[in-house]
Amino acid sequence: MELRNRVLEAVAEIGKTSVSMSAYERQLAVSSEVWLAQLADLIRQDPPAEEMALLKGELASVVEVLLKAAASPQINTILGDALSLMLKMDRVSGSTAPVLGRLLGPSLAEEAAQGNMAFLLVNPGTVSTRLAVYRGLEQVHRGEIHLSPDEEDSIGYRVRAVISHLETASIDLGSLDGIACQGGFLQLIPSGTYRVVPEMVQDLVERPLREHASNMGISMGLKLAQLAGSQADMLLTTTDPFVCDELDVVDRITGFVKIKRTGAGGHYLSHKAAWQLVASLMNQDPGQVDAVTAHVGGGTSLAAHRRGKVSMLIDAYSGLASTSRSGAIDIDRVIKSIKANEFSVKDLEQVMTERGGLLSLVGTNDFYAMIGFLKQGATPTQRKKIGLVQDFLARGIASGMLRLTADGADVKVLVVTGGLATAPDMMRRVKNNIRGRYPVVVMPGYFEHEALAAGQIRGFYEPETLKDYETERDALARKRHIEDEIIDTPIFKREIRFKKKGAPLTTMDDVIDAAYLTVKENYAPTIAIVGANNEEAILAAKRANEEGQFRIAKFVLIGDFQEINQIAYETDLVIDNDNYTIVDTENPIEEAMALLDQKQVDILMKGLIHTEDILRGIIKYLKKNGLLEKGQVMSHTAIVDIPTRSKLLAFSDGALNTYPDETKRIAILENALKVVHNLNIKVPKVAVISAVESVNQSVESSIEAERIADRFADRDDCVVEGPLSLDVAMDPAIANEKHYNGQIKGNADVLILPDIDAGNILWKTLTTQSGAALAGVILCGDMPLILTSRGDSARSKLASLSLAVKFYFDLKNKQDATPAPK
Amino acid sequence: MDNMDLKNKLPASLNEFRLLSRQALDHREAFWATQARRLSWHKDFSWVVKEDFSKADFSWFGDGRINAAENALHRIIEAGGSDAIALTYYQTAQTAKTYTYSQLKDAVLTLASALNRDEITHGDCIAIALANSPEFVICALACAYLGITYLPIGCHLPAAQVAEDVKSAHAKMLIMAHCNNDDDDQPKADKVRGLINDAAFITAGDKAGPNPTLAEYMAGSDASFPAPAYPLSDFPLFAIYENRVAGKPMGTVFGTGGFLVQSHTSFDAIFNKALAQNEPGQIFNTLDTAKAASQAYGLWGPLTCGTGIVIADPDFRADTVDTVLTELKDPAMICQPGLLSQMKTQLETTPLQTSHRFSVIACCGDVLPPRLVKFADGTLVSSPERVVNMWVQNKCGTALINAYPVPELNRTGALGLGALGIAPLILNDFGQPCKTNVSGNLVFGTSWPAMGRPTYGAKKQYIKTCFSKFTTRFQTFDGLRFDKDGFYWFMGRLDDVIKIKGQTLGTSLIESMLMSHPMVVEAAIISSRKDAGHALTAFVVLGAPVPDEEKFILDIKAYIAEKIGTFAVPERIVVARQLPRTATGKLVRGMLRRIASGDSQAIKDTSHLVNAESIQDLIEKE
Repeated sequence: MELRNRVLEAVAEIGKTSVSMSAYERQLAVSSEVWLAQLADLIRQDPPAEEMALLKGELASVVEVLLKAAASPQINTILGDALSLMLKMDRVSGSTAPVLGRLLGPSLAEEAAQGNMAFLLVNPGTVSTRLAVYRGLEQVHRGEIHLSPDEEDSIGYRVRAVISHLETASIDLGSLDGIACQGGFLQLIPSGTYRVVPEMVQDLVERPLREHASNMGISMGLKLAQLAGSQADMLLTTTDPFVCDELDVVDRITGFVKIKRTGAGGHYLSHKAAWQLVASLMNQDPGQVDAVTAHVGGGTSLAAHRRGKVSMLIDAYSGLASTSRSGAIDIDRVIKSIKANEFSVKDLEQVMTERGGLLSLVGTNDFYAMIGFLKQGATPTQRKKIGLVQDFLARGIASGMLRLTADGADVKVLVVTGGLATAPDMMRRVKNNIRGRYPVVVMPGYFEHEALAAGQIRGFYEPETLKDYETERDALARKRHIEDEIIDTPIFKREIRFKKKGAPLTTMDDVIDAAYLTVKENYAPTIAIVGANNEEAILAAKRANEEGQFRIAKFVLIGDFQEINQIAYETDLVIDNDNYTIVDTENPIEEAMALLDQKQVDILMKGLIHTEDILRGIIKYLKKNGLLEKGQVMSHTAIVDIPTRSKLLAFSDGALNTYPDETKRIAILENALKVVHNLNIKVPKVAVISAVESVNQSVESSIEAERIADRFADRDDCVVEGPLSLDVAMDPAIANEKHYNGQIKGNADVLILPDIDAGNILWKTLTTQSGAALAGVILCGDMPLILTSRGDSARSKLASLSLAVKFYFDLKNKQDATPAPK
Repeated sequence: MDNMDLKNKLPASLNEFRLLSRQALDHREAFWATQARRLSWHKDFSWVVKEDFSKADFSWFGDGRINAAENALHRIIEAGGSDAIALTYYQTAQTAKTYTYSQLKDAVLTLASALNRDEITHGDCIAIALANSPEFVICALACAYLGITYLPIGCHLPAAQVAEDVKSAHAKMLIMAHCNNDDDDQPKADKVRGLINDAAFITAGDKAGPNPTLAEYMAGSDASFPAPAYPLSDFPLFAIYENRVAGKPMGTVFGTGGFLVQSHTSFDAIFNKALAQNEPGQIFNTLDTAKAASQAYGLWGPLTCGTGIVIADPDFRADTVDTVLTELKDPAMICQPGLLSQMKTQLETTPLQTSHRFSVIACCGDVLPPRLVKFADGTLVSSPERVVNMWVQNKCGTALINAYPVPELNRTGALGLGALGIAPLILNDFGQPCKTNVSGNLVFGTSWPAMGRPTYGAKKQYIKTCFSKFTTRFQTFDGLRFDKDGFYWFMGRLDDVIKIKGQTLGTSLIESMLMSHPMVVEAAIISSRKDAGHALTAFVVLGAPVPDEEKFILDIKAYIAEKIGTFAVPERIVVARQLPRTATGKLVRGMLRRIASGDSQAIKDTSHLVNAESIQDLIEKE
């Protein structure tokens, strides 16, 4: 009662405060909007330097206060706008110095400004080569060399074009101190500025992560430096290429263990620059600013910055839709469409790289063309569509950014940069979607060149910060390898799929799972391995107990003490006289029967002894205890899991009864029925197989098959038909084609074979040719005998064991349920 | 710390016994000092043990001086046992020859004076190639009396080898019987005599040839009995050669003080102090003389405890059982499990006449399967716990793990509990202690009084074989586990034991020798069945690949021939990249054996291996 009142009281107080708070919020919202608009206007008029400095100071002081204030949607909104305006102020003059200054930090910026170092920047694109020349912090020259359609694009061609361009601009290549190159798709490396080395060229030529024009950048830089004649003196750098990989391991995992993600495919130059700029605007160390940046342009990528690393990435190919790329599309719809032959993988690839996104939706990848069309020329429906597309893009950007805040980090700010960031309406939509949850800073345009330049400058004045490509590449590869091993660590050797109790068992795994479930509900039975000086049997036992969550059975190992101990030693079997006990004897079969008699053992498993011997022993035991009913016969029933079939198939007898007569075959059928009922198949379809599907006087087995089927005509626990040929029993299409009239049309559950030859041939055909997994059990009266053969796979052995265990309990529970006769 | 001198009976309950065991280990030196002082020392020792397993060095009761024969005879006589039966010998199943302690002592002193007359004294060595018999006992005791090291040599060894052993030991005399003659023209004894030039040659038994018989030799002594020698505790009481390596015999020597103390303690604990009543008055020793266990439990142990020794001629051992049981009161027996097996077959056709049973049957030397215990129960002993398992390795001297003949301290199939004052360790192949019921290597981290030292020149090989895998632990090459009550169970040998040219050789010897080759990192020698006999296959892992594998294999074969002998050279040498091991680091010798015998098709299941691809590589190399 007391506590409840305290809760209500607190809420009421907060309510009171929020009433007054909302009044101030409104004030804040209104005032700040007007004020910021005024400031923006003033700035647009390009005021003199002192006034600009005053305005900057005004803005900076407000930003400082906002940063210290408790975050609220209003404060976040205003902070975002204010920071965006601060950056705008830096760029209004057209000089690159303020931005470079922010990227380099004050002390380095000062040093660079005074140092007057000069360098070339080379950035090859798909249709042109962009270049720039810097001196100190200023960009003194900028150019774009378009590719001529007449000439074949090559490094040599582009280099010649650059040289002639520089000559025309009267810039002496030899006088430059360095060249900053666009990175291209090298091997994965952490972010940073790297010294350009020939190893990079090797990787770009031999195994680039992706074919892209930027791959030429480094080769061009090396060639240019060579031509300048001072290759040794020139500093060649590349910074933050597309292949940076700093992802944390959680972000590398996908829903399919065989596909793992990497950090490649993001506009790292842009992301790192945006993050460093916003930290500088906030007057904080970038390492302390956890942010999310979005580069929205011809390609779109989003990055989460945590402690200086891009720990999560929405990349440029599988992320958001952009003006030319589709981004991610739901995998099931894609697969459905491919299967329906609506389009090919090649089509999808095109859509992913260059013909998707805006181009696919509206027919152009020029966003402004679309906006222009909206303003004049669009019909109402087209206007509606364009509005939808804009919403779609904005929602994508906003949801992408919010998704990258979902790791629980204390994200301080979101930044949007790139070509689309210059569209005010789009940015408004994005900010609305974010709804003040975080400050959103807009940095229109591109900062790649500034970032590359900053990297070169820093490398020049602080060469110790330059990274070594090979070292970093190899170290990252090793780290990822170790992570991959963890991700690939198997947890369960067998896929354990949860299945409801009582449902028919349709796969071998179902059989195994059902057995474990049965053991869980009852107890672990004791299985005697008769002739346990056999490594295969012991390993099968060991695996059975290690496969699932708990042991499936206790094992009594009957045989020679020394041999069993030696095998136990080498297979790491822990003999604890509880889960595993050794019973020393020279006559394993006799001993096993004695233990059965004393009820110390529940189920028998064949080890290193002859099958005939153990069967003989069992028959004797059964007869002695009156457990063998008249007419009951021992037979082997196999259960097969065929990959192309949706349910299990049982067949009998491929191992024990050689040429059984009709009476025996009926008994074999009854045994098979018991086994299949045990698989929760209530009314199994039993096909009595012959060479033909109708009675033929010259085929003995077909006559017999009909008689056998007749005997079971009145049974309601099974459907027995015969004669059937194997194809009619197994294939519905063939059954239809042959106009088979019975109930079993290719969906047989059980096949009763005419003799051991047929049964064994079927067995071996299935296991050798169809990749089927086979489990078997010998039913002796009602007692299962586990029989595994040398060639069985580990899974088959486990399945045979499971079959017997489940059978044992089902039988036992049935017996317990039946009241004993008085 | 009561009962540390074991004056009282051992506790019959497992918990109390384990408590006593813990106490003995916690006060290990005090425990052994107390045990040692139950015997008479001419000069008391001032320290109990000094050991450094990193160098395989150890020394017990260092400066003490003790005469083994006096402790076995004089001490018993002084305590009133003059007329007690010390030795009973069944030459046939029916006829027995007995010696009282007093008579035995006289015989011993007579031989001693004969030896003394020939100036064979303390520091010399005498080789005794006799089957277990009164002659052997008398010779051994006489040697011990004079501080002469005796060297029991197996009767089955060929003449050349016997001669080689005698020469390597620099034995001054060889006492030999005409036993186990080969189908040669010349009797073995004569052949041997021809090969040893410096040593005196005495034959036991009937006269045959010009050399004196033992009886003649003893008869020629004068009446004055020589003074006993008082060797230092570490002085070799006896030595046994186990293997012939590079033409030289190698084996183990046992220090007088340590061996005597531990055999006395161990024998007393198992046969006397464990039983509440009806302790055996005699023990029927069926073991071969050239085994440390025989010396411990068939000679020194019983005599120093005042228990008599019963010996039967090797051909009549099984038949003598009836007689032994009938004529003696509550005898004990020590045997190999093979003898029980033999008796089982025999008794199926001709059951025992007597209703008497052995007080205790102690088994050592091989695996004792539970079904043999079951057979013995009721037939040879009155209840199953009276069959006591003992773990004794030749190098170890006495049993380090054994059971006791009481229900709580014995478990059918188990080896038993760690002997008092001994701490067995079970380590996995990474050197970590194994948990309950998990099997691993049996090693010892500290020495024990009866621990054997390598014979001259064999120390390097000894360290390489026994101290290389776990550097400060003595490795036994046996795989064991212990259960939740502390009982140890034998799981299997960790190397193959091959019988070649009369000697029993553990392949660990060859393996350790191979691994001392600079190129070889790992080696496994597997003995597999081939045609009628056995063949050796070596699997080696090299530190770096060799350019010419065939030449390297020839080099290796030459290396082994030189270092050990041509008999040890494997037929095949397979260079592998890695050997197949389980997740716990165990080498799967069974699989290697199948590959070596060409039965690699049988290997379907390799899932328990941590490097299953190694099997594939090896099969491909076939």
